[in-house]
Amino acid sequence: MKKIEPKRFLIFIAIILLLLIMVQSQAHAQSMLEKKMSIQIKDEFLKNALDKITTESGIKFTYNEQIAKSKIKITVIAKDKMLKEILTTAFADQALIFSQLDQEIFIRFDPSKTKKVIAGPAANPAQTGEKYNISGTVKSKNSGETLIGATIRVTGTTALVATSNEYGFYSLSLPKGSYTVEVKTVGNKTFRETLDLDKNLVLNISLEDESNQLEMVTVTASPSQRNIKTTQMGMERLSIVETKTVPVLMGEPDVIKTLQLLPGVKTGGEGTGGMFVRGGGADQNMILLDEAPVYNASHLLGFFSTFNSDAIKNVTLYKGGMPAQYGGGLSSVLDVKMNDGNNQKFGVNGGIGLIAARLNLEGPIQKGKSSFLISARRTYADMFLKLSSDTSINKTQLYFYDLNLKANYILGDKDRLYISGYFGKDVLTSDNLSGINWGNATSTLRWNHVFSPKLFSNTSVIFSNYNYKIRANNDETSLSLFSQIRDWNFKEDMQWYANDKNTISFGINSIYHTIKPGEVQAIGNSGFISQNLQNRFSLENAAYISNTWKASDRFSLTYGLRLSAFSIFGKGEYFTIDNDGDVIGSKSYKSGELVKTYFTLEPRLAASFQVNESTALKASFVRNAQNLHLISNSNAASPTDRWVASTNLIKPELSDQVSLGYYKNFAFNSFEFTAETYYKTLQNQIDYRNGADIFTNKPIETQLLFGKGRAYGLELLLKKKTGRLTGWLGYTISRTERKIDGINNNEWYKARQDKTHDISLVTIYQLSKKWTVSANWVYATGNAVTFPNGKYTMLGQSYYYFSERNADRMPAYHRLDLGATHQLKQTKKFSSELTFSLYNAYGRKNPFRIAFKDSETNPNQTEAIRTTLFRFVPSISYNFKF
Amino acid sequence: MKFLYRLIFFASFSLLLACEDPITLQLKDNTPKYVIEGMVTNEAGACWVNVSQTKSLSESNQFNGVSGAIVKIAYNGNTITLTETEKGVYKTNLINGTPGVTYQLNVNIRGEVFTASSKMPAVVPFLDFKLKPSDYDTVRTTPMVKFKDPDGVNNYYWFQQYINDKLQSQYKVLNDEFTPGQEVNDYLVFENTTKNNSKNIKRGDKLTAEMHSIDPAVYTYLFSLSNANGSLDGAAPANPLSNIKGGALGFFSAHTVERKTLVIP
Repeated sequence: MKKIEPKRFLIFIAIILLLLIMVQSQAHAQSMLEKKMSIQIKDEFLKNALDKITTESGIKFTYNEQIAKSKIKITVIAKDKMLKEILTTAFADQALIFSQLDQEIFIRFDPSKTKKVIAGPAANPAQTGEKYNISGTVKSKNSGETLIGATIRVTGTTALVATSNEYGFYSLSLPKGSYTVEVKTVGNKTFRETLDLDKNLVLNISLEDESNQLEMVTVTASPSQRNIKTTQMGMERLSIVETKTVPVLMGEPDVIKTLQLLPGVKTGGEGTGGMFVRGGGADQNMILLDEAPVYNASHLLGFFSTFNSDAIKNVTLYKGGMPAQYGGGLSSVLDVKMNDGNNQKFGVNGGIGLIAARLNLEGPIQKGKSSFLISARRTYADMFLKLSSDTSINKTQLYFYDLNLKANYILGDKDRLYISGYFGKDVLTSDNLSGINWGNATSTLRWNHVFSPKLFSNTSVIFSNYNYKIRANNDETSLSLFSQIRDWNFKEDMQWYANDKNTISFGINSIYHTIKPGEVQAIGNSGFISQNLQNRFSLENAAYISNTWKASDRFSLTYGLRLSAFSIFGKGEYFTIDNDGDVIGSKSYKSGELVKTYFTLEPRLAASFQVNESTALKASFVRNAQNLHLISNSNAASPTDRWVASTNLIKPELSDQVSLGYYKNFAFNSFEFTAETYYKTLQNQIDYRNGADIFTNKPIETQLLFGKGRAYGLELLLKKKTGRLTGWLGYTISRTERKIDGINNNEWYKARQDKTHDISLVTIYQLSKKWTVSANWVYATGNAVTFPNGKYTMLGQSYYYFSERNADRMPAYHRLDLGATHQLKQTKKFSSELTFSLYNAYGRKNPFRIAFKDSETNPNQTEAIRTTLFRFVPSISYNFKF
Repeated sequence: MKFLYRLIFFASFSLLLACEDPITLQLKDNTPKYVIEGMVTNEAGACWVNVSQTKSLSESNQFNGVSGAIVKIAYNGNTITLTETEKGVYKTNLINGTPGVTYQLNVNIRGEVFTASSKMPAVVPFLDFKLKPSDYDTVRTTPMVKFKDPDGVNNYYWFQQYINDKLQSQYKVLNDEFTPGQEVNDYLVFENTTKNNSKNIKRGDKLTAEMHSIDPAVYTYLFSLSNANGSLDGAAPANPLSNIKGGALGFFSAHTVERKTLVIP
C-alpha cells in the first residue's frame, strides 16, 4: 500500500465493483418472495388468506381498501414452496398481481392481467390519465415538530415513494384512484390511511411517538430504501437518537464525533473536533445551523462540537453529490436543523454530565399554532480547577456555554414563520488576565410558504457572526487582538413538484461578508501601537436550478447548475506580490468600488439506476467553489486560525468530484450495504509559507503559498438498522495529497489527515427494557507527519533536520469505547436515565503528539516523547424529561 | 503572543490528564548535510564559525565538527582566513565588527562552497533589565527588557538568555512591526522545561540577557528556527530559512552585542 497511483487505484475500484455485482446476483436469492413455507388455505377471503400467510411466514402484505374489501376467495395448498410460487398459483385466475415493495409484498388489481375481472364493489377505476396531487406536512403528534426525511409511500393503482423535505413538506402527483398512504420515520409509529383521490388533496400527517422514553429507543429502520430510490449519494443522515446512543468522550453527545465514525469522515487526531471529509480540510466543510454558516464548529480547542444535541432535530452530511442548493464548501455540507419547539405541551428535559450540564425548555405559545424552544449548555469543569493547589491551574478559566433559541408560528395552512438563534462562547484564560475567548452567534428568520400544492418556497434572512479576542495583560500593559467575520445573508429556495416525473428546485442566495482580520489594542508601556488591519468586504451571490427526473421506474437523473459570483469591494488596499512573498505594488480602492469578481459555474449531476427492488447503482459529478478560506497551520481547530476571503491574489478554491456507488438492502431491508468510491481534485489550495509569521500586519498573501490537491478512496458501509442489535461497520481506504509550490520541493506530499485504512465498528444492543449497551471500536492508520531524519547543533542546542514533508506516520490509532444506558423511573409525566461510558476502554496509548528532545535522563541522547491524552476516561451522566 | 498560546495549550492539556512517555520509532536514515553557524560581533575577538554535519538521531548529541574547511570572511576589501582551533571550530581575533559594514562568509569544504553575507545593524541602546518580585517563580521567571526602537528604520532584535552564565535554549526575537519608534518593554521567559526540579530557578541565580541588533535575514532564520521542531498544535515542522547559499543548514550573522545581568533577590 506504499504508493498507489491513481490509475491503479481506479482499476482496483472497478474490480471491487465488479465483484460486488457478481455477489449481488447471488444475494438476490434472499428475496422475500423466495422464502419457502407450507400452508393450507381453503376458500378464504383474500384479506384473511393474506393474513394467514403473514402469520405463517412473518411476511407482511400491503394493499389498498379495495383489496381489503374484496370478495375474492383464495385456495392454497402448498408444501415447502416459495412464496412466489404460492402467490402465482393462488392468483392464477384473478386480476391480481404482486411485487415486492420495501419490506412488504404489494398486492394490487391489474385489470389488464385477465379479462375475467371479479373485483369487489369498489371496482378499480380505469386509468383515465387525470392526475391529482397530494401534499402536506409530516409532523410529530406529541410535539408538533415537523419531521425531516419521512418516507411517504403511496400504494394503489400505482406505487410511489416520496420523502418529506427539510421543513416536513411533501408533494406527490398520482392518477385518480384509491390509495393507501403509509408514512414512516425513525422513532415514530407508522401512519396508514386509505383515501380516494379524485381531487387535489392536502393531507397533513401527524405521527405518534413510538414510546415515551427519552429518545432512547432502538434505532429502528431509518426510512428504508432511501438509499435505493433517490439519486442522492454520499449522504449520511443522522437522527439525534443515533447520536445519543453512541458512547463518546466525557459522555457529552456530539454530532460531529458520531459523524466521524462513518466512512469518509476523519478526525485530525486524538480529541480534535475538526472534520476531514474525503480528503478535504477542516475548513472545507460548509456547516449550516438552521441555514446560517457556522465558522468555528468546535468548543475547547476542538474537543467538543458547538451543537447541543438537545436542540437538534436532524443532521445531514453530504460528502459528495451535493444538491445545487448548497455551495461555498469544498468538501462537504453539514446541514444541521434545530428543533422547532413542542407546540402541544410544555416540556423540560436536561442532563448533568461529567463536564457539562444541559437544560432544554420548550412548549406552545399558542397550542398547535406556535411554540418556543430554549436550550442551554455550560461546562462546569472550571469549578474544580479552583480546588487545585497548583497556582498555574487554579487561576485558569476554562469553560464554554451555548444557547439555542427558537420560536415558530403557523400563520395558516400555507405559511409558517421561524425565528432561531444560536449563541456560543468559549473562554480560556490563565493567570487571571491573559487568554482567548471566541464565539459564534447566528440568527435566522425563515418563512415557509406553499404557493400551491406543487410549489413550496422558503425565504431566509440570516445573520452570522464569529469573533475571537486574545488578551495578554499584566499589571503594566494590556494587549488585545480582535478578529471578526460578519455575514448578512438572504436566501430564497423553491421546490416545484412539477409532475410525477420531475421535481425542480431553484433559488438564489446572496451573502455580504465583512471580515475584520485583526484589531490590535495596546495599553501601557509595551511599546505596541494600537492598529487596525483593513476590513475586507465582499458579496457572494449564487443562483441555481436543478431537476430530478424519474426517467423510468429504474432510472433517475438529477441535473443542475449553480452559478456563483464572488465580488470583492473596497474600501481597501490590494497588493501585487512577487514569488518570494514581497510586496511589489498596491492599489487603493474607494469605498464600494469593485476590486474583482470571480464567476464559477458549478455543474451538479447525479444518476441512479435501480437494478432491482433492493439494489441500485449511482454516479455523480459535483463541482464546488469556496471563497472564504481558513488559513491554518495546525491540525487542531484553533480559535486563532484566520479566515480570509478571496482577494485579487487568493483565488476561489475549486473541487471536482466524481463518485460511483453501489447500494444494496438485504435480509428484509434490515441490512443496508453501501460502497462508494470517489476521485476528487482540488485547485487553488492554500498553505502557509515555511517560517510564516501569523501575527503580522503585512498583507496576508505575503505569508501564503498556493497549490493543488487530490483525494481518492473507497468507502464501504454495512448497516444493521432493525432488531435488538443495531449499528454499522465502516471501512475506508483512501489517499489525500497536496502539491504546493514552495513546499516539499514542489513534489506531491500526503496531507496530514491522510490515513490509508480506517475502520469503525459501532454496535448498540438493547439488553432489556431498562438497559441498552453500546460499544464502538475504531482503527486508523496514523496521520501522515514529518519526523526528523537528522540532528545538528546550533546555538549550543540540538535541532532536527527534516527531509520530506509528511513522509512518516504516527503509530496506528485504535480505541474501544463502551457505553450503557439505564432507564430509571418512567411514568407518563417523568422519565429519567443514567448513561455510563468508558472512553478508550483498553487504554491504548494513542499519541496526540510525538516530540523529539534531549533525554532528561541522558542529555546526550535524543528521545521521542509521546503525549497521550485520553486513556480510560469514564463518565456518568443523568438525563431527565418531564 | 505565540508563547501565550502555547501556555494555554499546555495548561489545558495538563488538565486533561495528559501523560508522556518515550517511544521507539523507525526513522529514515540521515543523509549527512553540512551545518554552518557563523557570527561576527562588535565585541573584540568575538568572531567564529562552526562547521559541522548532521548526524542520525540515535547518535549522541555531541557537536559533529568538520575539519579541514577553508573559512574566510571578507569586508571592506579585506579578507581574513579563520583558523581551526578545535575540530569544526574556526576563529579569528582580527575582526572587530563595525555597525553598517557588510561581512561576506565563504566556506569551502573539500571543494563544496557555501557563501553568506550579513550587514551589521546599528547599536540600539539596551536600557534596562529588571525583575519584579511577582514575576519570579521557580519554574518560570519572566524579567523585563527595555529598549527604545529607533524611528524610521526597520529593526530586528535577538535576545539570548543565560542562567549563571550558561546559555539557555530559550531565546526571543522581535521586530518593530507593531512598535515603530516606541520605547519597548517586553518579557523574557526563563523556564525549567524539564521535570527535573534541581534545574529550577533559585534565589541568588544570575540571569543575563544579551541583546543583539540583527539583520532581517537573520531574524527570519531565528524566527523560523524557533518553530522548526513543530509546535504543540500540530503545525508541520520545517527546516528554518537559512541565509547561507549553497545548500548548507545554519546561518551567518553580523550583529551587535549588549549585555545586562541581574541576580534574583
